[in-house]
Amino acid sequence: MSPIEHGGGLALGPLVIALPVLTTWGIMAVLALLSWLVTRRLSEQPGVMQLLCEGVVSAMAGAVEGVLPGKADQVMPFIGTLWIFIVVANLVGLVPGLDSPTADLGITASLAILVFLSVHWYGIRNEGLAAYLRHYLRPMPLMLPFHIMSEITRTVALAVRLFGNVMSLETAALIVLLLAKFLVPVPVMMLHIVEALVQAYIFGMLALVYIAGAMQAHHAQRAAPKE
Amino acid sequence: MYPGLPGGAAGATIPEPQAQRYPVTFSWTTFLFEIVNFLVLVWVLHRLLYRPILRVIRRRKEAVEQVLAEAHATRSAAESLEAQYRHRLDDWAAEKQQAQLKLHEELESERQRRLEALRSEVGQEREKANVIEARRLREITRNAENEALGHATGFAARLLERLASPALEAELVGILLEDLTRLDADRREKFGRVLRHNDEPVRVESAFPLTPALQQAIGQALSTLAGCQVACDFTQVAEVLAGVRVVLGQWVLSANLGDELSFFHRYATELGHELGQEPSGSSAAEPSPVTGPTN
Repeated sequence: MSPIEHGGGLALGPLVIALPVLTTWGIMAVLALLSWLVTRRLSEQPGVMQLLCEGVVSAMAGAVEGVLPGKADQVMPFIGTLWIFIVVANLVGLVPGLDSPTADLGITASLAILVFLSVHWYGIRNEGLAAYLRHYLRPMPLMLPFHIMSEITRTVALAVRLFGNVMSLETAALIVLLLAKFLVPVPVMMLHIVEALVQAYIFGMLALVYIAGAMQAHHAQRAAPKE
Repeated sequence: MYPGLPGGAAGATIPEPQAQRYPVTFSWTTFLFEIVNFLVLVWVLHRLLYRPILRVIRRRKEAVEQVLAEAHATRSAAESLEAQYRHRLDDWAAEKQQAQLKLHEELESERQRRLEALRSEVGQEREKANVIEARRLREITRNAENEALGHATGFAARLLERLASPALEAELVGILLEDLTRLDADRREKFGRVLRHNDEPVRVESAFPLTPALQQAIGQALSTLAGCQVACDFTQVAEVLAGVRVVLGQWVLSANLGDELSFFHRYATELGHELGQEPSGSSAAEPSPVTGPTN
């Protein structure tokens, strides 16, 4: 089985690996390598890279801790990876010759599905299956369809929002670049950076809020009668 | 960079192959690969990034907390020591105040005691001075009295010496005889007993020679007292000055100026001594009668 160039992707026999997947592998390799390089010799007196990494990780842990006090250790790896991956994936589009994987609906949909599954996973793990499923019937069983619709729509919204923003930004930059001179798209590229950070933050924060809602469904049910 | 960019040239159209990549397409393969990729990335980052970094942060945090705990413990110990020293200083201040109060009380007590002692000593000194002054005054008075008595005795002796005469002696013998007749029964009995038991003659001393009448009157008076005949031996003694002295063994009856002056002088001297010895009170000595027994 020999790799075959296929539309920017890689064809391994009948299996065609698209370019975003290859880019994702590259991102994964780079992140793993950087992580290993930074953390292989950690010390109590941190260097610049260690300090940077500690700042990023502690900021993410603090944000998760702020939303889920006492349960940040469970969720932080997933949410932190979402933030890091989406930021890097969004910014990869600025590298000549590479595309942002998040400009592919399959990538964003897979991330949204993972968020959808993790919401239920963390919810059931913390509340128990019966208690977690019971919150779909709150405040009344009539709300069950709406809860289901909400789960589906917010997952779709996650996928489409990230995909749409990145894809539209790249398209707009491409159009500007085609119509204007060479340096004209620079402001658009600056906007791309900001947009990449904002979209990553929004995606991760929404995922965190969804997971937190699922993990605290039982508390919400108990607090509801008091209200 | 952005896919489909024609080599940096500002082309007016997008090449067909790249333009076909932008429509919204969905690949299940990509979808499934990405799920696996992301889960693997989560695991890798958790192992290689989050866990080591968070471990280091936790370790540093624990070290800082330990240092903070030690600092808090040190601060607590310091505050405890400070409070302890403050209490000790307060105690010392209270003890100092009590010691000062006690010292002041002792000083005041000692001062009062010494003042009382000084006052008592001064009182004693004043009393002693008063006594000395009174004694000195008494001495002066006694000396003055003695001197006055001496002068009076001298004056009286000189006067009586000039007045001494047989006539005065006769008068004094008359007084003697009169006194002998006025003696009370007790004395009369005593004289009589002495006269009766006296074997020797009664010696009658006078300054001038007694007339036979006087001698007879004296003998008669003595015999009357004795109740028997009494022998008398009449002699002349110049110191009698005037009058007679009847000597009955140890008994002497004086009715003469010499004995009276001697008695007066002795009485004055004794009186002066008594005045000098006793600051108050009257003299117990009484003037003896002209005629009286003396031992």
